[in-house]
Amino acid sequence: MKIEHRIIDDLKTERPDVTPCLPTYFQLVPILFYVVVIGGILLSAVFFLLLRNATFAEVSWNNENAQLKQSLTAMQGERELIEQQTQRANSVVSWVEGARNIQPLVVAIIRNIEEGSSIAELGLTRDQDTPTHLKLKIKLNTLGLRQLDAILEKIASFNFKTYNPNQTQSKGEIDYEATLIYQNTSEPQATPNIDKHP
Amino acid sequence: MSNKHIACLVILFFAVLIIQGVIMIRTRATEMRGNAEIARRSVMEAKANINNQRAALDNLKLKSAALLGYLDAWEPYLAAVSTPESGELYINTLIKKNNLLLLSQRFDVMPNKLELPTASASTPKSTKAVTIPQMVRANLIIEDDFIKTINWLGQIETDLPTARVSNLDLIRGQSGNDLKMNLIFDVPLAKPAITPSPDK
Repeated sequence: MKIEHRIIDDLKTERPDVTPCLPTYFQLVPILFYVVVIGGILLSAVFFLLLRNATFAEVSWNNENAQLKQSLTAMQGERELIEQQTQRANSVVSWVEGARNIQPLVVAIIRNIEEGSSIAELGLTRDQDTPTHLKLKIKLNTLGLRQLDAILEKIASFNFKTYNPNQTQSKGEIDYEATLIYQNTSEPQATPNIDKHP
Repeated sequence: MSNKHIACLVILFFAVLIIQGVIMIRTRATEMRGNAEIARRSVMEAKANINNQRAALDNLKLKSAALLGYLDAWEPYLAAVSTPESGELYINTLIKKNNLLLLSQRFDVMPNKLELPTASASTPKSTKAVTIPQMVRANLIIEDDFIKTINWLGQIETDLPTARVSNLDLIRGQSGNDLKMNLIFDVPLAKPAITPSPDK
């Protein structure tokens, strides 16, 4: 069946526009939107790059910091070891200084005895608190003081100085007591020969 | 409000969302740059600190080189007698080797009072810092030929250079050229040498 065009037109009712046109300045809205989208993409890209670089830089600095801390710890360990060894060395020096050989001194004293004199007793005692100090006790059978003077001279040649001397003399006997203090303490006890160690 | 108005508002809302997103990324980037800057400063400070520490360490090494060399030279002698038994054995061996007449002998293990932590109030030492905590004290009475006895004394002082004669009394022996020697002899029992731990 054929419907005529006119009749259809007749079916359509006349109606006004749904909404009125927006003012002209509203044309800025889509422009603004596009600007924001493009600007947002560009700025986001820039900031993202900055963020990524900053992250890498932070990781890299943190790694370097960790390595430096490790080196610092190692260095502190080394320092601690040296300090401990120095402390040990000081202890050894102070022990060794109080362990200077006394046999050469004894031999020198004995060899220095002249004819007509003799040693009845000879004693050397180390001070417990200051082992570098030796207490000398000697009982001489001799007629004069010359023998004692000779012995003291010999002792002085070993860099010992006598302190608090106490001397008694009776009937050809001399009792002499003194504290011997080693004078040349700036020169440390010589290191023994390595080949000879036990 | 018409549909067109609503459409504009929706578009503006999306624009604001995009701006907000960009601001968030920027804030995060700024924060990360700040963190990176803090880390960089920390590294610079650590580098400066390391340089100072290295200089101090080099200085310390230089200053203590002679002392440590001295310690190295004496370490073998300290290590030679590490137990009371080895000290006794060593002294007895030397006496027998020289065929000396030994009248009496006594060995005691004594604390080294000068190195005890409470030795001095002004310079207290920690237990860790003590190097020679103990010593073997040999009380010997020997009576033999004068020269043999004196030479033996010299030999023991040479062979055990770390040992210390604490007391020596020499009196005439009972016969001819004999000498009676009362000897108190301290042999140090040092702690083992300090060595760097493997992890250092």
